[in-house]
Amino acid sequence: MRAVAHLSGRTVGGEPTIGKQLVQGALADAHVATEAARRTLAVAGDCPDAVRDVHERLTTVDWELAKLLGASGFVDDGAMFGVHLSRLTANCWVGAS
Amino acid sequence: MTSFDELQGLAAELAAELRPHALAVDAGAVPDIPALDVIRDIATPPQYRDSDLPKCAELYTETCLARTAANIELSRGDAGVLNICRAPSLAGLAVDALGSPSQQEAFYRVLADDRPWTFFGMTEPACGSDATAMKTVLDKDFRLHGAKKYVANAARGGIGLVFARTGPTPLSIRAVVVRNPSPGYTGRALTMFGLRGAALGEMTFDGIEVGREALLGAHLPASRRGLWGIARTFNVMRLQIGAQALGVALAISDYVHALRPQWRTLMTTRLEAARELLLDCAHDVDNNPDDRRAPSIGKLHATNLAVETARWASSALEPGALLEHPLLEKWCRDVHAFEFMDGTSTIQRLTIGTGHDDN
Repeated sequence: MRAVAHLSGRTVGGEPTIGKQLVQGALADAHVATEAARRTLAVAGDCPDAVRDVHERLTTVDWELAKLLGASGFVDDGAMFGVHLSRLTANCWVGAS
Repeated sequence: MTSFDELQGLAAELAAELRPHALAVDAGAVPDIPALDVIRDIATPPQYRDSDLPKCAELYTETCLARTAANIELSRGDAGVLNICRAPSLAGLAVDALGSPSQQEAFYRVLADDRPWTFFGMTEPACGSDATAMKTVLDKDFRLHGAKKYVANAARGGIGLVFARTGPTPLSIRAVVVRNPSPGYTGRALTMFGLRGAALGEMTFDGIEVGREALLGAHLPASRRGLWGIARTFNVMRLQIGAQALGVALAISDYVHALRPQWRTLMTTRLEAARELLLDCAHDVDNNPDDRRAPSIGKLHATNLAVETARWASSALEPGALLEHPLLEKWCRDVHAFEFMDGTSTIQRLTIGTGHDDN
């Protein structure tokens, strides 16, 4: 939602950034990966290795979305600060083998 | 041993002197490090250097290949510390490309006398990578109005370039030399997620009077006075961003393998291959300075691989490794900075994908 809101207010070469194919492709990939992560937790939420795998996949998705925010996500409490906190939390997960 | 090998060796020696300050710089310190004075001199054109350097150091400003190889090694020490170096950097390369001999002399005289940080004001908050949409204006009285954001050394820099519109067309986007402090100049540092030594900030210009002599490119053909005149400069700098990314990735790999000396991982091979790719791209830039694809290929691969290396490191080590090893944690933040410097991965992909005619 944050990436969509950011991109919706910007233009490149006079055209809305949200309409660019590379941007739409990245948003679609992130949406699919998130839905797959939900289902993984639904069927294997009690399996530590699956939980770890989901968190690593979400870390990847977080980064792909953060890239769409440009440098704004990298400064002054931008998205990367929260992304990193999530990553550090996942890194401390001791349940997996 | 060739001069090229000697320069790489010199860079590796200097890098070792940067590493001990990495965490302090990440915490906001700006330590006085003798190695940075040497690096600053190496990065300064020979005629403006103020100390004697080994002969191999001259290669740095002569070829993109040498600059790239040296920056990989220097960043392997610590890219954050490297970025507090008061070097001419991108502003210097742009003055070399756009400035008249007297403008170059004046710029480097300030660097020699005052040792300031330099800034390069191109990006604006609303238009990011779309430089031709910039709003900053240089009016007919040579007064600057507008704002820039995500500019290294915006607050602490003493001299630099600002790109501004002198008319409605892309050809009318020109560079002016700006001093800080100046009446009407305001700089603010931004809180960075990583690579904090780069000190990104934002700057506003409220009618700064710069003077006719500060406008670069008047002696050049109209097509080469502004943005198009520094296209080659960007090709060189794009690879330096890739070099820094790869340097951090190598530092991460070194660190992990020092913790697990028995490991022989594929990551080592991938990083060495990435070095070959970057150096080949730099060689291409030396031979064909107008080729935009080679630097984009090098930068895109190095920045992506650096992020991947950071992810590999945290998953390969035991749980909690990032908290246990603060330097590793810092580098895992630093690697993300390069994505936003000199064109995002999306911009690089578009350049690579649509640039077949360049070759």
